Amino acid sequence: MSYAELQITSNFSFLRGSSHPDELAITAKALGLRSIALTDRNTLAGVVRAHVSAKEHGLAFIPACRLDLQDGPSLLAYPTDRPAYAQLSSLLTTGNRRAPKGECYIWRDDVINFSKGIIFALIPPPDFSFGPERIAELREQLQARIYLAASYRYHSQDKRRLAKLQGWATYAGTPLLATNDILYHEPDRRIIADTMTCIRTHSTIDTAGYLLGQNAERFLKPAHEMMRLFTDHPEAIDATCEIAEACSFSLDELQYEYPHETAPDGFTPQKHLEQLAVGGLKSRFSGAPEERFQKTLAHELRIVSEKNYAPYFLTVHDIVVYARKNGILCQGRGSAANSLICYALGITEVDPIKVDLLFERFVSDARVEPPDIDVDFEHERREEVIQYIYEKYGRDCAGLAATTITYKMRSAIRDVGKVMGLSEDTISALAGTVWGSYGREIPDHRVREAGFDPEDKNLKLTLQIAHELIGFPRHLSQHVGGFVLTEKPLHEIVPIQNAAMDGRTVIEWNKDDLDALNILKVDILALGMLSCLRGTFDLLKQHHKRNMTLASMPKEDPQTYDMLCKADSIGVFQVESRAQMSMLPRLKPRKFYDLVVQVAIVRPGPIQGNMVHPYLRRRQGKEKVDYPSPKGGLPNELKGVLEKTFGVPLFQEQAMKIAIVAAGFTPEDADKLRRSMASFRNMGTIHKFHQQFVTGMTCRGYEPDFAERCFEQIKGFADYGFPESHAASFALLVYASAWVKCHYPDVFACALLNAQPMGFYAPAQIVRDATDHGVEIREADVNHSHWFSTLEPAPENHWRFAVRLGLRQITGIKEKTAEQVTGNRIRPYLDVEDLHARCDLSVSQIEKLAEADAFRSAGLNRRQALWQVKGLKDTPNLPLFMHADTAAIGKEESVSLPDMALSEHVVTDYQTMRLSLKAHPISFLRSRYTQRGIIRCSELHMRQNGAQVMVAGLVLVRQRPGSAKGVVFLTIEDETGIANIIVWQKVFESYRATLMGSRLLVISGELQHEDNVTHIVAHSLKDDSQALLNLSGGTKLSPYKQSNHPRNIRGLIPASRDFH
Amino acid sequence: MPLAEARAIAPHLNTRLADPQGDAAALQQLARWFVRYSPLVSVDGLDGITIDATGCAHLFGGEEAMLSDISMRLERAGIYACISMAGSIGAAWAMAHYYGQNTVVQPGDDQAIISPLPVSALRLDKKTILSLNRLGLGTIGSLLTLSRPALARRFRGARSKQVADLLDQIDKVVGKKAEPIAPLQPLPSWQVRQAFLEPISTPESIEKAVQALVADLAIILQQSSLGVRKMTAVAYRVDGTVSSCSVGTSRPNRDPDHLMELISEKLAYIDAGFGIDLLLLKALETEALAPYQLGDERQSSLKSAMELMDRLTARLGDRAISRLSHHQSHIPEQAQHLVAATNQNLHWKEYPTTSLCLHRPLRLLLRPEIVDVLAEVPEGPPRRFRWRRVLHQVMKAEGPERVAPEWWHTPHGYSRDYYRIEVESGARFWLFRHGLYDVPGVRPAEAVVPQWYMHGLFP
Repeated sequence: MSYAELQITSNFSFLRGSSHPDELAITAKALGLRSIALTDRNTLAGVVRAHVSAKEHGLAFIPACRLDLQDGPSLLAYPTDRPAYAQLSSLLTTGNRRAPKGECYIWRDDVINFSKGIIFALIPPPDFSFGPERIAELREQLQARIYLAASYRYHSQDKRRLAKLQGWATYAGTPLLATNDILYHEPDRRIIADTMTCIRTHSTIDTAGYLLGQNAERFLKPAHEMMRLFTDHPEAIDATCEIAEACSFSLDELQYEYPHETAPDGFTPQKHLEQLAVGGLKSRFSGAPEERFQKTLAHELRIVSEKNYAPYFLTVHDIVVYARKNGILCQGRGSAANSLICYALGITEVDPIKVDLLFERFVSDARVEPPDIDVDFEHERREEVIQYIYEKYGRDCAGLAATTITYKMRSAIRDVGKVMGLSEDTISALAGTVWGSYGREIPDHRVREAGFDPEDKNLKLTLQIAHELIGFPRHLSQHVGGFVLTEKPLHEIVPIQNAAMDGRTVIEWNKDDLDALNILKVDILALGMLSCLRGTFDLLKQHHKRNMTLASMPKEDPQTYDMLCKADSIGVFQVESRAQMSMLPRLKPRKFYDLVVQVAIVRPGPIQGNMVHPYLRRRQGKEKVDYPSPKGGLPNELKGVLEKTFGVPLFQEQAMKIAIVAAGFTPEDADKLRRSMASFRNMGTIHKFHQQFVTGMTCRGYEPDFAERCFEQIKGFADYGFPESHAASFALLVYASAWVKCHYPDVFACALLNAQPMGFYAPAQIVRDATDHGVEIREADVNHSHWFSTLEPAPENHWRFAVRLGLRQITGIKEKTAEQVTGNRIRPYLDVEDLHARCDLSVSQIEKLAEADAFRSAGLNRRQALWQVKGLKDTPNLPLFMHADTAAIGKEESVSLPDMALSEHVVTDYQTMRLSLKAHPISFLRSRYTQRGIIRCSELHMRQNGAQVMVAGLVLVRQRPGSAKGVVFLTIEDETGIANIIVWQKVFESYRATLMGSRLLVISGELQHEDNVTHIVAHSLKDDSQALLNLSGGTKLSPYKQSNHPRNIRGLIPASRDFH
Repeated sequence: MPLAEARAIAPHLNTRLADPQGDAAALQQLARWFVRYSPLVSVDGLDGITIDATGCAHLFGGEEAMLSDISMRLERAGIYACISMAGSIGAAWAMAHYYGQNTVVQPGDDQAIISPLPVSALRLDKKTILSLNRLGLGTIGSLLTLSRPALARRFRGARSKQVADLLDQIDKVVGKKAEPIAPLQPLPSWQVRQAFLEPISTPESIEKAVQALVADLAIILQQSSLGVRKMTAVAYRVDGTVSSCSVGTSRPNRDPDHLMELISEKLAYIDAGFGIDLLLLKALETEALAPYQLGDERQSSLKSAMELMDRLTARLGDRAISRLSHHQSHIPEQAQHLVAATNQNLHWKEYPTTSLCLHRPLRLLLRPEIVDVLAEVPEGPPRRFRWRRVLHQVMKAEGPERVAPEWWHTPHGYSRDYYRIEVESGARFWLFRHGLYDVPGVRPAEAVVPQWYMHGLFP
């Protein structure tokens, strides 16, 4: 006898179901069920996951849905074939599109319209609020097979209820269908189910009362148990098999079709692609390309043709062509992007042959997933590209992929804490102990540190539940830019929802789901650096008369590499962070591939795998390059994999390749391993792979230590996978931005300021860095500035141009204001009144200009300008009334205001623009500091290694990486430069308050030089923020404010940027 | 600074929830105490009290003496205060907030002493203070030197934006503009008193006096449509000591007969000693009570039930009478709680009327009693069982109704399977098995040998 469970609510019925789809599938298989159907509420979001897992374990799976209607009983819907599935998906799309995000409004009439080929099961109301007549009526209307679902609920009168339902079933002609109304795969999950109920209904566990389950019976039960429960109704069990039999549809049948229109008439997409690629390659080489290029291209085209990926490449090409045509800078990356085809088509500028990236590695039989091309666009203009795609392919055929927002430790603690009745501040304190958004547990000592007893029963239970909740989907959101494009209407494949953002629609499946079903997507991403480079190219053309593109940039410029070797990289893409900066002088990049390594090496993968130092030692020639080899095996079997990186695996691809070559994984296994790493929820399966991997390697004679390290590295990639293919594309942007910074620092600073907010540093540091390179920066001024920062001729300057700060640097100035000011600037503005009369501006905007000291060119200092602004009135700018006010009040006597001290000017500059060109705040304290023996940051390199020094500076960055065992990294800045401080845990504990709360720190410690990297190991810290307060002439220092980015700060001095 | 941040800096920080309402109430109370100094007292903002001491200072020995008296008394009460006295409210406020020591500003000195104070002493909004500071006008003095029209043009007030008119504020400080004080209103007091020329001491005379007072209280309560929830009688004895007694009611009430009935139960606790020269009757807690409609039977029957309860409570004590309140729980014996008789909210509306509860017995045994049961394993109903030494043969059975333990209270508890049983005698019982048997392939056993219990009887 067999049984199929046809009513299963997974956790994709958000805050309802309490088991993952794969847990349900695995359990069902273990119980020997005939098949299962996932019936989440008005959604198909979880079906792919269940499908994949069921397929893997050889279980029949029916993608289905529970339809909760606005005007009737709920129905379970089982599509029997592909057209029926399309109906169901379209029905849900209709419901989604007319409802706000996250809701679905379906009426009975909709179901009637979309019912062809679908088998329904009606869920009787728990209180029998309507009779069998309604069911009969519905059966008439639907014109489809319909059953009556019944479950044994252990609510005392089950036998009586089943008999009653049997009566209904006979009356209405709807056979009885046995289900167990599954909410979880095992009884223990009742705890999660109750917690979910409380979260959903905003109640606590003590007040939820009857909302909670009375017992834990809604778990998967084997056929014999279901038979026992339905002894009196064996036909209800048979009905499950009938339905399972009838529903032959599998998600694998979703034949994905690429949009056709990209190929002109008379050409197959493949033919068209070949033509374009060959033509493209020719123009790249201005003539016939070398033979090996032609050979590679032919090879790649053959693979593409075998896999039938040509339309995909054409689609990406089409988008890139659109961007090019409209002057939007873009660059492709990802596995397939670094193919010669993409190089030929202009999708990427990385020459794959030179960097030796092999296309096959990414598109092969082993990788069942489709190729992956991400295209980065200028962040300010990406929306144009997105709207172009919607326009070209239509909303029916184009949709953004979803991202499943899942519970992280912090959000889980918040929600579970509320349910368990913890007070708001307890919850905050607990959540605060999770460092970073990916923390997975709260160790006891952290709980104790937060002031709680980890042995407390309630607290322990809270943490335990929260821990189990991690990875549960919470809601769907839109993916940053993954587009799915189809030939046939997309809503027949997957339901489409409204996104939170107007004008966007999102499908219900995420990236992994799409991959699993072989549905191609194009990632349309935004990248600030591309905006910056676009600005750079424009400025170069306009002022330096150089026509530059990413392609025409001088290659392998030694000066640029010299600059990078000195870690002079503020503003340079990717390598500007502190960790990257300290790596640069050690790695000493001299060629393009070095940059590829540089980008990839400062990542969790190589760091956790302890691969960084061996790589550096070998690179510097301090250690012999050898390839780990099995005892008695081929001595150099890994040479092919690791040759480029001196025998040290650094990239994701290499780690996977090691799994295949050294640990004896099949390519499919390796791919599975990679994917199981990608979602940490599957951590359970990792042990299996861990064993397979390590024993695989040691059995073949590798050192166990090396095997462990390789595996650690793979685990590191799970958090932030960084493949070589991405690194190569990024490296190109690193090189491009470094080249401009090296040769045209004026242009670079100007473009970087205009592309803000982006990158690691705030405008103050960018300006500071430019000044250090001899670039003249000029104040924002009503008579000279535009909205964006601009270049002005400066003949006496080394770089011949000076950067004029744009009005956008002033906090609170709107773009319209800048337009008014520049548009009406036929002759210079004489004073504030003049500006007010000529521009249609609100007084508050003029006040902001005056506060930012932007009237200097009119001969007014900050206070004088402000005094004039205070006298203005927001009046309509009509000529008749222009002088009405003046006449009545009469000529005003001049008022002399107290002069502003320079230090106060600087502080006000920081308040209004977050930077000051006048001086650095620390410079006013310098004489005092010199007396106390505090040295300048610029003097540090003159001191000897191991010297005891004292420095003082504004705190720029506070960083406490989770991997660094409680060490805090500080970056401080004084008027001469920055200094890097390391605070060991012991020191941190005793100076915790000082470290976390102050803006201005005096640090004494020991100087350490290593490989051109200088830092101070702090012994003691002193808070000197009070000195800043004295500078501001009485303006109160706003309290220390934690923020995610310096640009968000409104305090006196921008607060530091803190990383946990 | 948010709490989490403060905690990051000082992990062992001791924190308390802010209680703005409590603070305001405490300030209000403190302000009332100041009526001892002057009848015109008002609360100022979140942390200040303003007193119009005109014509009062001499009662305390002059201005200086009054100030030190205030500060001494506050200090003794453990309250830290900054106190100033000046010719205008504005000046006194500025001095108290920004001068740093308690002072009396003599008339004529105002301007000189106030000039060095920061502009924030003018009681300005933050925006105005910020722009004055930006202009370098940091002190009141620097404003006084500027021309008034120039200032007027720039710092006009705007009610809608909560921006104060700068000149107005200056004038208030220097005393050019009068500022009224809005004194606290006296609290209405629901109390009546009776003083006796000749002290009384016999129970009869006390009762008679109290009866008169109750009648008076009922009248003033009726005028305000209020009823008593709690009432106390205070007797001041000739030797200066006090004796009192209180009664409560379950509903607001102002029926003098009923109130008298309640309090007469307690009058015995009043010890007359050498005699009472003052009796006070206070309504400590009152609630709105609409005038009583004659002839409304429902109201009057409710009233009489309530009055009975009040009398029982008055005689037997607060805890002697309780009512059953509903509590949302699947565990049968948890579904009702005993609460005080005065508790009005019993939650019975939330009791589910679906099949679930209709099939539970109306009354449960105080404690489930162990029974010997012969039943089919794992989930069969009892066939026969022995309870209180009587063997019962089961004729009909229905179930199980499975109730899982509340995991947040008893994480390792057992489930119960309840059965409704009818035995041959026709009696009906509610039995449960505590713990589940092992069902192969479905679930492991909860208890090795589950025990059966009798939990209730059906009528």
